[in-house]
Amino acid sequence: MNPLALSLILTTLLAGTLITMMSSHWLTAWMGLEMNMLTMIPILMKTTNPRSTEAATKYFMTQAMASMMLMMALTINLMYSGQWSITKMTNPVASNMALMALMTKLGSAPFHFWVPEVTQGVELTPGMILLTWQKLAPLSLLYQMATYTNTSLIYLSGLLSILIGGWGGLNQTQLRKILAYSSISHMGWMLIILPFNPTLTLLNLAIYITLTLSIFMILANTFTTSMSSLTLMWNKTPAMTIMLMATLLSLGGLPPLSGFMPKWLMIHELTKNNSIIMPLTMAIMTLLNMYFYMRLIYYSSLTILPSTNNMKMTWQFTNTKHTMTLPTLIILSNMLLPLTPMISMLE
Amino acid sequence: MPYIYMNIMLAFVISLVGTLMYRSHLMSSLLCLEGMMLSLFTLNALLSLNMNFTLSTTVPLILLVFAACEAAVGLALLVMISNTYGLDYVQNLNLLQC
Repeated sequence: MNPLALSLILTTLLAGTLITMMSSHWLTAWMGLEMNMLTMIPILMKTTNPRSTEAATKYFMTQAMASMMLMMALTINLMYSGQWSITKMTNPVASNMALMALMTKLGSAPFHFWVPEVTQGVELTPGMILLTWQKLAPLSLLYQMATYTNTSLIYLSGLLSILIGGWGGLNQTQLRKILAYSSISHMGWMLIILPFNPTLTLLNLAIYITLTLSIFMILANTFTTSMSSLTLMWNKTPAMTIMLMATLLSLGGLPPLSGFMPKWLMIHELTKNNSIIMPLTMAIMTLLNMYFYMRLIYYSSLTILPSTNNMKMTWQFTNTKHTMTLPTLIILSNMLLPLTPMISMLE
Repeated sequence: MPYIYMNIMLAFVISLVGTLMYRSHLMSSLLCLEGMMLSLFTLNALLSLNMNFTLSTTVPLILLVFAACEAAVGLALLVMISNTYGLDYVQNLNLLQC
């Protein structure tokens, strides 16, 4: 893309999210969400093939409808309370409608249908922005307004997200769809802990963004988008294959890695509040996620598929793609667990 | 609640259902998006005038500006789809399933 246009688009993306995150008036927050959506469309359509067009159209339709629903919720709130502040949305109709609109923007069940299709239709880098940066603005609004919403709706959506994220990803071979279902599942975890301890939502968001960025950057480095290309990664970049294995295990929430930290703290928080069945269901359903990560690890690092001998000895070219922050992100996504006591810094 | 607000909220709900349930053309869904915007504009203008929210009288105009930008982007996407398929039938958008 033209560098001037790309810099303008990325600046607008940054500005939209920051405007939403820093606002206390609902209108400014809504304007930031609109700016985010409008400037995401050219990013999704970086390559002009029919799949990108279809993905951009589906993204546009769902997000525009969610924006309109959010504005209706704000207008109903204005009608009943006369003020536009985000933290005091006391009318139940307005706050639940806004909750549903924000859940559509985040891609959590039962409004999740656009996430796998849109992530599949675009390249890896726009998909990465879609699954990480676009979660910041709606979650910042949810963090502020969730106290007045019906918590049953949040639990229902969260549990449904974890179930759908687990079962939906089982039948996939395309990596972008697997990461989309992983995103749905993680959004479920983030939503459920919101009524109990919103700080853990932000912690889960931070660690999820680190993990997803690492995985997308590793995949973008070797241009792998499907499971069959994963099987050839050991030959081209053996170190990155091992890092992919460690980061995928961390994404599934395996103990000595840093993906375990949010899940552990969340289950601790839920059991402190005397809810046993819900964290049990959540933890067991996340094992479905772990299954398809293990399948990816099996095909990329643990086995070598049958091939001829000269395919096993390729020229080791020097890497010309920029891997700017990748080593830092990989370390952060695998080795943060001993720093768990520092979470008190987040309060 | 006064009858006029309920009327406009009903218009919003009908447009919302129209966005979600359309037969074949994507254009009808975009039109219903604009219908939602129109009902929101009217509701906001009426609220600002009836309840004397003097500082919120610019809100309908701001909504209109953003909805116009959205409509432009939606139409641009419609044109891109028509480029590939010749029509804007929604059944054509089936490349990304499964």
